[in-house]
Amino acid sequence: MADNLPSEFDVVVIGTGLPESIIAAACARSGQRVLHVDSRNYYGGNWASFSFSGLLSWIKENQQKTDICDECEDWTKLILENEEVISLSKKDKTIQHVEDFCFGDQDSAEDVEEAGALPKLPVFGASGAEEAAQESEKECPPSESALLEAESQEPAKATGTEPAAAAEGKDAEITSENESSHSMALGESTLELGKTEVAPSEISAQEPKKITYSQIVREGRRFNIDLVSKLLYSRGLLIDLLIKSNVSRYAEFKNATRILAFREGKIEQVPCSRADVFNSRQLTMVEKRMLMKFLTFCLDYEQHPDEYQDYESSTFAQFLRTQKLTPSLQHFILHSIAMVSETDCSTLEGLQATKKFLQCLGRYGNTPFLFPLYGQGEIPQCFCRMCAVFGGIYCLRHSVQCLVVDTESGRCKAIVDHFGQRISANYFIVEDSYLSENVCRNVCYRQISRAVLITDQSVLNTDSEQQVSILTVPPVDLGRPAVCIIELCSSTMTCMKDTYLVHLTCPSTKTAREDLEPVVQKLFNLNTEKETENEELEKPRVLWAVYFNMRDSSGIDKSSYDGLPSNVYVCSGPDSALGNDCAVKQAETIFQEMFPAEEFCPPPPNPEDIIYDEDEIAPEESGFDNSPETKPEPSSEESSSGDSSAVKKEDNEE
Amino acid sequence: MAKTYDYLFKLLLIGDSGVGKTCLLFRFSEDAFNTTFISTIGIDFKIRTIELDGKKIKLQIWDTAGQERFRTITTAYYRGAMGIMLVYDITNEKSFDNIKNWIRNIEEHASSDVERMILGNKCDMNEKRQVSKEKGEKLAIDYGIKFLETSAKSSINVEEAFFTLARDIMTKLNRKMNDNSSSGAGGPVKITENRSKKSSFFRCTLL
Repeated sequence: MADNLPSEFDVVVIGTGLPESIIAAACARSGQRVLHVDSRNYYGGNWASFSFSGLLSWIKENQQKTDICDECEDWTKLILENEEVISLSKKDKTIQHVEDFCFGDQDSAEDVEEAGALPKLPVFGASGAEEAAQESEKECPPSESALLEAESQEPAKATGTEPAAAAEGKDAEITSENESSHSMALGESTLELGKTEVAPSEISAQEPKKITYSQIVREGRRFNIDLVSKLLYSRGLLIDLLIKSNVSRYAEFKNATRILAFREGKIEQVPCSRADVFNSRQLTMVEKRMLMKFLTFCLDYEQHPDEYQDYESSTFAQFLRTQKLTPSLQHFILHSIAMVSETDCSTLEGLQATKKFLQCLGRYGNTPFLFPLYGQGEIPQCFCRMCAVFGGIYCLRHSVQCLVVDTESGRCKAIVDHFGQRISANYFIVEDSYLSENVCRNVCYRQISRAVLITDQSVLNTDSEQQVSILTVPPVDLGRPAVCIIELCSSTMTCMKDTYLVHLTCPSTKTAREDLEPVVQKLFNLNTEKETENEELEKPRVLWAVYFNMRDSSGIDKSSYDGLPSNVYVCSGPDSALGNDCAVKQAETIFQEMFPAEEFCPPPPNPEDIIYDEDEIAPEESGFDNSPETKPEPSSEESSSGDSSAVKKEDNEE
Repeated sequence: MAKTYDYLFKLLLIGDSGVGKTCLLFRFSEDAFNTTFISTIGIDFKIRTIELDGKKIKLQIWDTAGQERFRTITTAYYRGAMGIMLVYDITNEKSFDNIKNWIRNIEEHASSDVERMILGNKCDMNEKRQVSKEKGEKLAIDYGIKFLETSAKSSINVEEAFFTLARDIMTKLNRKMNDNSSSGAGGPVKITENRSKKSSFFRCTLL
């Protein structure tokens, strides 16, 4: 270490997860001297995102059961007579049952490359119109089985836009030859609304482009794989905080583009905005009216207590059954809009959840959710940057041996770090995983089951490949948790071209693999052999997968921890909820307990911020180069660049 | 709102602590130099608009916020950067040796087509020089990067350095725009853009 640390701070924060990082930023912002450390060599703890190789090392680390015992002995002499010590944990025990699988056929890799099926970067210039044109040109094989086969070759689409490739040239010929069958096939698929087959599939490439494991490894840097899979509600607490504190300037986001539902073995898109409802081809006119009427009611359900008060003691699912809604609409609302449990959720909770969803629509796009470019792991780091800008000092790979407690006052005075340096402070923030088993012996933790898959196509192919989708798969057995699935495309900067990153999350009932594998098998093709059934062929192929359980330390009362001084605050790791409200609430609560008179993350008063606001409205330039791989998307997110700073004020006042 | 510039470039300063990154930033953005009043605290970035080939280019130059000190620069710092100034101190050999580490860092976290430039700062302090100009030039050639010796204090080559970097970015940008004309669409969302009205469900789609 080149530099020595000062030995006195106001606040020491241990752990760089989201709540800790928000607290660090808030403290530094209010003028506190902050030391922020993490024993790992990366930011974010269980909120981190990894490149592919980074994730592989993380897996290895968590599969090794060996305890690291680099006990540093000489620190005991730093402890005075009237002091006690609370040792911190040496090893992170929050991750269990890590199992990774590679489904890629590594041997065939070279062949595929030589056949010219290498995943070239898709052309940036493919505009919506061009894409549409290309679509209408595509071949639609008349036979059902051929159609299914074509589905499996969806990833070939990217190269389809490249005129240069010789193979693609041939495809184009085939395409025009088959144009005659187009209208008929299209007619067929219109009848099959809501099924995966609706997807206008790209066809024809005789050799499907296969991404191999070695390609994933080679392009490993393109991956930013989140340990915890979340989205930001566009009117959630985190968005509000990002805007209020100006930390939003450090990050960029992408809209979730689709809400999906899984019903009767099929994946369908859920119409949720007004336009979606009207444009939906899968709903009848009557259904559209029903849905609009119900959603309108949900937006201000408080004003119409007569509509629901008889059902306050029933579940939301039961309440939905009494409304004039078809089964598919009930399913959409329950699982994909309210995203609540069929068995446990009360009518009021369900209405609240539906309202929250609807209120978030339209702020940044047609779904209520945003996803941070480069992954969720960026968000804690953005708050860390804010903290650093206001003087916070950062040390990664920096473990803390113990907390030093004054026997008389019962307050924590200092920490001793792994170099044996004693650092004093007034307040200490410790992330749950750093506490020793001794302190946590009475704490009852829940677990989160997680799976991450790298797949070769989307679970629901449509005209645009670049989709960010959220899908809720209801439990097979009632009473078990639903599985939340977030599928990310490469323009989120979290996976390489021609792959999708699929995150599955649910509260654990067993090991992650036991909880999630049934769902994975339902939606994806896990077979490596080429001779798979047609039914399997239409499903996205899993190239690589990992399962793990993560400790859910949210919602634990501080009194459950044994013998922690009053000036030591515990931050929890990620919870299993979709949003980030829990972390933001916790950070604000802890900050206000420490500094009741201080404002929580006020906007920086720096005059340059005013200049900056102007800058943000230049997506033509900044968006352009910030993400050169981003393919144009037919979403409306870029439609309103001109008035950001003008409306921004309003927003702060909200 | 009328835009006062044609392009916005995000630039970063990278290098060891104490090589003068913040001083270079102040020299370029404020034409000021003061060794005492500058502490990196509170400086997120500075802005200066320059003119190149008749185009107004707003340079948004980000400082490390002191996170280089213990090598804890966040990956978020590198995102979207179009140009990076790698700075060492000609009176400090260690800071020169570390340039290689910083380049590795950039390769890991920044966009692969980011423009880079190496600056040997404090060239006014020739009597304390530990790194020869030739050594600096050679390193730059090895990496195929441009190189200048600068002095924030004596205002030597500071303008030149930033203008050169900006010009290189501009050249690359023009080339890219010629390659594909419509890549500007579908950019990411900056969440300070609040384009919603209050009642979202209805208005969101009423254009």
